[in-house]
Amino acid sequence: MDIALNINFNQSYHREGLDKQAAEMTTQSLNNQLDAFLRTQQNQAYTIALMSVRQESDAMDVIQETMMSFVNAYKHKPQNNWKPLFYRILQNKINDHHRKQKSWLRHFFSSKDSEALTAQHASQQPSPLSVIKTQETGHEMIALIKKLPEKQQQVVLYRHWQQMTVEETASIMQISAGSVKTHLFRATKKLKQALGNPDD
Amino acid sequence: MTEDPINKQIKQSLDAQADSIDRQTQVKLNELRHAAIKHPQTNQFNRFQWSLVGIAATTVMVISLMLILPKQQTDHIDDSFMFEDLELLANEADTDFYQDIDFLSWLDENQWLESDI
Repeated sequence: MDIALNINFNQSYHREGLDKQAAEMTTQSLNNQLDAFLRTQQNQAYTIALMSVRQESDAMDVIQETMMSFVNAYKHKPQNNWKPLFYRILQNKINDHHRKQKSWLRHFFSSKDSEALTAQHASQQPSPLSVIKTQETGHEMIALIKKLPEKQQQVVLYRHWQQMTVEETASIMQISAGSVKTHLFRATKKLKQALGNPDD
Repeated sequence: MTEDPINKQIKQSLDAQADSIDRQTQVKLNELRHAAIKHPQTNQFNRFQWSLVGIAATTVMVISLMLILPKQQTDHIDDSFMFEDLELLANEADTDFYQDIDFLSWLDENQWLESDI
């Protein structure tokens, strides 16, 4: 009787050990997959964030919050959904950043300080020198994309660069598919005109 | 269906932009990635949770005090009235006195009137 109990105890103990080991391996494997996914996306996500928030430190904050939120909330979702989910979080964080900036600016600058407010906005725009520098280094297209209105810029980044579908782009930007197509048409037209080939 | 040349140009330019991120920024991005995977929950979130618990506890305390204190006060008032009634009922002489008080005052007034006459 004692021997039978002992064997049962050993078997259950062994099984628990195996379960624990399997769980650890699953966690490790998931972490590896997450690491690989984020490594492929981090530069592109940083580029998108920097284009929108302009300041490097702000772009870093946005990326940090995006990665944290993604790993916390969506790591157990199917991997083929990771990319649209990641960029949706990124876009939400960028929007949050703009909202915070607006409320912060509204708080500290009353209507009397409109000149200071204008100066603050101007400081966030790329300087003419940096635009010239970008153009000189062969990145004329980047300079043109930066000049596009916000929604058109986002559509170009997600649809053309990240190769998202119209529906995925609409979901990321939280607008309709029709609006995505409209913004995309206008953005492409502007870029073509700026590059001197409007008939293409 | 061939890809629009401008789309290709956009993609190539942005790829080049992403690839040209400097070494220092790259190191920082790697650190953020490792931190997100190893310690996904930030302290800020924990602080937020604790502040919620604090607010909830304070609200419960305030509501409890609001419910208990007025009840205790009304209980106290009811008890005092009850004790006054008991005193009156226990002392028969006093109750007679209270019952005849109108008559005595009337008598007193009349006596004064008679003496005046």
